[in-house]
Amino acid sequence: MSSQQNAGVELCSFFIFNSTFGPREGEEENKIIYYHPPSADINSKVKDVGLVEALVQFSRTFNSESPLLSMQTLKQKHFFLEPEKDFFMTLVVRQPVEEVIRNNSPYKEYTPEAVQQSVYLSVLRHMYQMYRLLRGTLAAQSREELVRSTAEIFDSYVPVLRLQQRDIRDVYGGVRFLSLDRLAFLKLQSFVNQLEVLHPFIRHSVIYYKQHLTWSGLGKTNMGIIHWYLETVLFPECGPERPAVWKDRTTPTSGVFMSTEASGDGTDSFLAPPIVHLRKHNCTALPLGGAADGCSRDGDDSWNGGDPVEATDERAQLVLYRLRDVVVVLLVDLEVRLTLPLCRELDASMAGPVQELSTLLSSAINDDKSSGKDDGDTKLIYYNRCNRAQKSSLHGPTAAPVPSDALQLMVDLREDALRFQGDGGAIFGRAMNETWVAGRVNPNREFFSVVQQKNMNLMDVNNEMEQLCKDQFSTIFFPA
Amino acid sequence: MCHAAWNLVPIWTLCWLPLSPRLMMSIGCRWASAALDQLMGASSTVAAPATQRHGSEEQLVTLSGVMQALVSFVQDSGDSLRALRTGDRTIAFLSRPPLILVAVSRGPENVHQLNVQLFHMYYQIPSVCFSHVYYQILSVCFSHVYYQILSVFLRRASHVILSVCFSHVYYQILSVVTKSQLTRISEQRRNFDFRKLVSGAERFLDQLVAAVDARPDYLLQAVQCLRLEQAARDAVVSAVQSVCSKIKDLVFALLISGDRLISLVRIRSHYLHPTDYHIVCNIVTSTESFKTVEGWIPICLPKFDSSGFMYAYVSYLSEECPACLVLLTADRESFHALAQAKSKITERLHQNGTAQQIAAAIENGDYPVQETGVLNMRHFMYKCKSTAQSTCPSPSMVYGSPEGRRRLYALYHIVHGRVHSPARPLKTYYFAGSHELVVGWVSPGFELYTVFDPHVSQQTSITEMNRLLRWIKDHERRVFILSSPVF
Repeated sequence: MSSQQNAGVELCSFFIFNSTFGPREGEEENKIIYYHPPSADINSKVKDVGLVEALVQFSRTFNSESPLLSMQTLKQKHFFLEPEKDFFMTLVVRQPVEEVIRNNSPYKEYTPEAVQQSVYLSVLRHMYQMYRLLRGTLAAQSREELVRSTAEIFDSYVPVLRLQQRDIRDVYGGVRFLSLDRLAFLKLQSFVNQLEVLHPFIRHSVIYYKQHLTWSGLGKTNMGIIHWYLETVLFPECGPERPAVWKDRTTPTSGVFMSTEASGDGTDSFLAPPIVHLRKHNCTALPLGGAADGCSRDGDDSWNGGDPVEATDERAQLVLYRLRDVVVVLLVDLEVRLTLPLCRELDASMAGPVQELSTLLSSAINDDKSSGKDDGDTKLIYYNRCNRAQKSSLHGPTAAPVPSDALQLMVDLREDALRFQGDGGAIFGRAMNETWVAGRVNPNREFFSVVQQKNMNLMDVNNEMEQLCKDQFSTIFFPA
Repeated sequence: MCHAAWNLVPIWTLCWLPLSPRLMMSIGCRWASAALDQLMGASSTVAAPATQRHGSEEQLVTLSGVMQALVSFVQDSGDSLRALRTGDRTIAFLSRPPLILVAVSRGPENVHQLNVQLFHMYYQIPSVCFSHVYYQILSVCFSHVYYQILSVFLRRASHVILSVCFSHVYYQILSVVTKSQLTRISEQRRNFDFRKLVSGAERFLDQLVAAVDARPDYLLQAVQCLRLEQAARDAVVSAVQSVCSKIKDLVFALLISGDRLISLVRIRSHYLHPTDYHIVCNIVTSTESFKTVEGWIPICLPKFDSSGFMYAYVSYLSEECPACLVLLTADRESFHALAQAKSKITERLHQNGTAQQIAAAIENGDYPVQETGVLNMRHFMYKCKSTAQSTCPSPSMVYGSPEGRRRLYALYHIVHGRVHSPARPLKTYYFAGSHELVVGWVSPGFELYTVFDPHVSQQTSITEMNRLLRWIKDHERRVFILSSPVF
């Protein structure tokens, strides 16, 4: 019942292998593409891979169509993902240990419930998507290339996985939007149009303000992947070296260009930003007002199971430009060399409008905050599958954090609601410590809240929920 | 294959033919196939021979070989395999050397619940092995050298043969089938084929699989009582007490109908655990021969004492009253005394009309949910925690069909699993969907699970549940056994 229950969640290992790389006896080592921690000896690496191969075979005897998802042992949980045919990614997580008193003597007990399948499978899926974003599909590369490229990506990323902090937000993988008034929206749109017309080599542009997405020219799958990537490597200022800032040493520009990948070493004469692989079928945003179509699972499949393997991805250079609290993400044609004069030109055309936008957006974000008043006892998370919008007050910077029990219960209840019937419903659970978790799940939208007031009964919580819906999402219809 | 060096009596070698070195695999195989009844998932409420339904024995041997390998592989790294999850199945492993029990489910059970089910299986093993071995030895005896000796006893009465035979092979058998000795034998004789031990006992396990799958009392770990007037129950108790009080070493006297308890008289300071009760019921209901002839079987009640056996005298009361009297004793010589006691009890119950009342109650069966007067409620399960007794009505029209019933128990499994989650137990659980409204409510005294029509408001559901609690309180003398009489 401790609130730090998943504090003990720890990464044991993470590995990628392909059985077809070492089909013969004695060649097992070749199957391994990437293994973390690298210090493990080769025998244990081969053994781990062998176990997963056996488990996959075993589970196929029951239903060859249904993928193996996880294995639970006394101490660990293993999560499996086969993102492309014959390629397996495995994440091994140690379960936290709790001291319990049994028969008057202290006793250590593992708590498998603290490591939730849907959360960590999502983490694994995000890891694949990030790899694919930066290096393309696994199948397109030779074994040697894979060994090198996976090491480049995962060596720096795996140590900062922060498995303890994973929760329902990872399951959703949503994007925080900043809602704008008409004026701000038009200003933003005209800025983006102008920019893209002035520099036709810009294929797509995305704009963030204080980690809130304010404009995106990408489809939701690509947007989701890029958002998660930026959130992981850029926003939390996590990596010690990144983001690397390219400075124009001769003429100071107003904003800064940044790189998220250490590999993109810029020289003095030109920048070499990382190249990203975008899903082709989902490159452009839906036209405005075309939301009805947005609910189709087209292009969204990667979030709900295996990824479709496409022959080619669309490649583009990822250029990040930051000025004040605004981050402009530009996806630029491969052929364009980002020389210093070009950067200076970009800076010149962006600096003025971005500064103006920044002022406009800061008032927008204040409006947004005041409408979503932070009620100390009630926390909520909202997710819209159609546009990936996510709103959350679970991790406010000021208020007391929501206990991990409640966060985990949220994932549990969400799973239950979908198990009862495919189209979900309203679900409520009261924990032993009187914390209520209430939610509404339907195929397109989900909404969960944690109510931590004492002496609430079911009806009170339901009223509270209704009030919240009214306050926060007055325009959204929730059945039941 | 008779190893003279073992220096065993002939019976022994006849029974325990050492087989191929597939040994541990076949152990896994046997138990896998029993538990694999769940392989076909929620649709497996009807038990059929596992091997027929789930492929050839060859396949099972391979499969269990793999399972054995997986379990020992994980064990080598100082861990133990608990469960696998695929897109549509949960596979739970319970390793109790030398046995590995595996449940494959496509149903709503979570890993924890599957483990509880496997424990049910596991607890049943000593009893089924033992009683089965026992019959097997009998048949061997009849056709071989021991025939001569045994036939002497045969002329007296069937049960005598049993007890004599019993004393003959008692120690050998015991060394195989009690928990500790099971381990020893498998370590000493690596190529021992356990299937010999349990072939023919499938019906117990099949029945058990079907029961844990579909009966609320297994889920709740509670005992369900037959609905009966208090006076009738008291009459049974007083009949049992007056007849049995002088019989030494009698531990429990139960009158049951199917899985419903009619009355229980116990020895002072000992209680019958619901798990043990379910084992008794399962053995009684899955043995057809008890319906025609009284029986005398050794039985292991693991919650009572997992290292030893008791002896059960089992007999249905009479043609007119299909209730079954089970007398559990520690004295292996008391068959005669118990048989006499049974006829006295039967006579008394017939004389004062109680037997007829019981027969009528059995005839009536479960009550429909409408009888409670609660509106819009489709079904409920109620467990009284202090007495570990439960009550539930017969499934209403909506859940009348086999699929409907499966859906109902699937709902209960989900709610029960969440409410009793080891890490995050809940007090209240409420789900409102377009098909039904499901509520789970755990208080210090009781657990209540209800299913309402959809679109019933929260206010109504709470009012109606309170009304139901009042009804249960009013009728508790009929639906529960409130007293706990002793000999």
